[in-house]
Amino acid sequence: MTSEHASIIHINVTDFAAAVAVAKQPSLSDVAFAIAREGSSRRVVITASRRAFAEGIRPGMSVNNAVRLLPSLVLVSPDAPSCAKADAAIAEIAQQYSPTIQCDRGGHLYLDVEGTTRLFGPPVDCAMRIRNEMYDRLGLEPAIAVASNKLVSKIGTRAIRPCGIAQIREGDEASFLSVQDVSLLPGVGPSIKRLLTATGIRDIGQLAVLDDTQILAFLGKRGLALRNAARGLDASSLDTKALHQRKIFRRVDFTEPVCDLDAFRSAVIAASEDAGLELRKEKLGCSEVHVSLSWSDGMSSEASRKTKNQWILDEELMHASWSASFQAMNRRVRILAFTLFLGALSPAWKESDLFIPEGPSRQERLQAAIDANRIRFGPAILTHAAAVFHV
Amino acid sequence: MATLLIGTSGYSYTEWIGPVYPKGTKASDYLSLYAGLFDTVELNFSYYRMPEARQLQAMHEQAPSLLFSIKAHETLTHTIDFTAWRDEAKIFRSAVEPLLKAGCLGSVLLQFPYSFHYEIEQRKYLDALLRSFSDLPLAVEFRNNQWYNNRTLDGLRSYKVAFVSLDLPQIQGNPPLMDVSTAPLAYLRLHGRNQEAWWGSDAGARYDYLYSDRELLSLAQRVKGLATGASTVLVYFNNHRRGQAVKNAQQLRLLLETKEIHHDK
Repeated sequence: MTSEHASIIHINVTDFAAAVAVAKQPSLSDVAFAIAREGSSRRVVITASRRAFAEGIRPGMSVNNAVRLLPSLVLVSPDAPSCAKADAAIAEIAQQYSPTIQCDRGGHLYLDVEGTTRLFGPPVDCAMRIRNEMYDRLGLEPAIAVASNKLVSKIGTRAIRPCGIAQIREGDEASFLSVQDVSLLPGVGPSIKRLLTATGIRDIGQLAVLDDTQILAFLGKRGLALRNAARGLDASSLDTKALHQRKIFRRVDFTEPVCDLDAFRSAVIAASEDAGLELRKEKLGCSEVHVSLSWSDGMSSEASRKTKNQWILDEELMHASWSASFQAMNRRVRILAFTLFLGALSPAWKESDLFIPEGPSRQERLQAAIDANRIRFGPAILTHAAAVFHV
Repeated sequence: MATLLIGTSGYSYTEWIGPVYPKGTKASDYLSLYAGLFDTVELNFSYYRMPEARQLQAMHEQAPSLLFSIKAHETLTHTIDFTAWRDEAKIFRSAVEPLLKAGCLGSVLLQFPYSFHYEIEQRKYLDALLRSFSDLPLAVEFRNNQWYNNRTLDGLRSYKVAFVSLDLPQIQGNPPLMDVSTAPLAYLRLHGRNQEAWWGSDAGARYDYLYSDRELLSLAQRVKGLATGASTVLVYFNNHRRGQAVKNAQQLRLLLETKEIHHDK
């Protein structure tokens, strides 16, 4: 049976923090609540419960706006220890069925059950047993999909979420993906979604049929990765290291040792963009950037930057890596090589764009917004800080 | 806690005399005998012939303990006249009224064929049909895999209409396995896994299949999973050839032991 070759199972507990909160305190299941940090002056919703989501509460929304929209909204503090415990418990259940598991945090886990059919039956049977065990033991209802690779199984769980089970047979990937909403494709964040919508692309299949020339003209060189994802192509294997041990790294070896700041900066930018692309393809974020410089006299120096939040976008990564690089450039010797590590990885809190498509620059967008406000409210409504100072 | 009911698709098969019904049983006695075996039945005759209210009333009187699911007439799913379907829907709607009134209508099954594509006209039609039957418990089965997408599921959720889960041969051209709760009702149809006879055979050969013990164990897990997101789960075996559906339905019921599946939340 061809379906047995599709042996990758993706487990996705939708709105993980909220699901864990309900599992811990079942009375919350009938309550519209949101997970938000306490104490911050600009609190934002991290996760909304299913009921709150149905009422229009969305992650990233400011708590003030959320409460204004839904006055009965209950705010719950994040419970990192319980989430970590739930992640560990999911991994423990999955490990009963296969030693090959990739344990991403935040209620995401992949396992490869190839070769276990005689023990546990076809992969989809394993998936059902895992699902039922998660419900019975942990009170969590996951979305689970079985497919021939990680990418298709991930889109599978997104298609059926918040919960359920789906099996995409080997050979049926293209037909399954072609009718799914393009926003389910990893790497389609707000910018790319806007662009695709403007051009009438709604389904993954519409992106998949574009040939190289068309996709290059439409989205540039990096659009190829997105088009290939739309075709369900994914050769990546499961990374069985725990997510906190994993790192994404890029190394640049200069052909000639450099002391030119511009040349060095270009290398930092290129490495950040490339590592960032991998980060977003994996739908991860990082909280640590570490750089290492090798000098022409055989010495090396290192520096890092950390954040309590997540870095996902190129601009955030470039800023952090340049800041760390600048600190590490503490010698008057030429640089031989530059290495960038993205660490403290965790599942991305929000869907980010695989790349930022070309379009109006930030400055242009800002200018357009300023002009719109001036036209609507009068020229004096917005002015530069210097002018305010002189008044 | 979900209520689980298991039965078969259809009950009136002459070939069941012997394996299911005693020899010499008259056709008019099939239903009352069936009601002694199961709590629910999926009526299929209504697909071929438009049902009538008095006919369904009589069936309810003959088997008052049975919960009926009823397959919609072909003019509503297979041979749709997009300009005249509302009249057919009205007739069908009034026919099921006695079952609805008596509280023994489990669901109306809208089974759409492979030729029912995910196209604008069909989507509009489905939307209008679901609206016109909005006071009935509904379950929709798609045979074309174009419907197996997130928009369909979201749409069914918004109408609280069950997305029918299927078990059929895992071969090219058949829809994927997908168990997703979109309504308080979950509906599972088991067509057997006769790969060789699935395409190009008559219905008798296509549904000639007996699930093995191992397959039934796996199906029990599926049913358990469906029960987590629903208040009622209806399971119907359609591998009716030689009464195999009856045997499998009884086996599955035994595996699941009780009519109610308890889940401590």
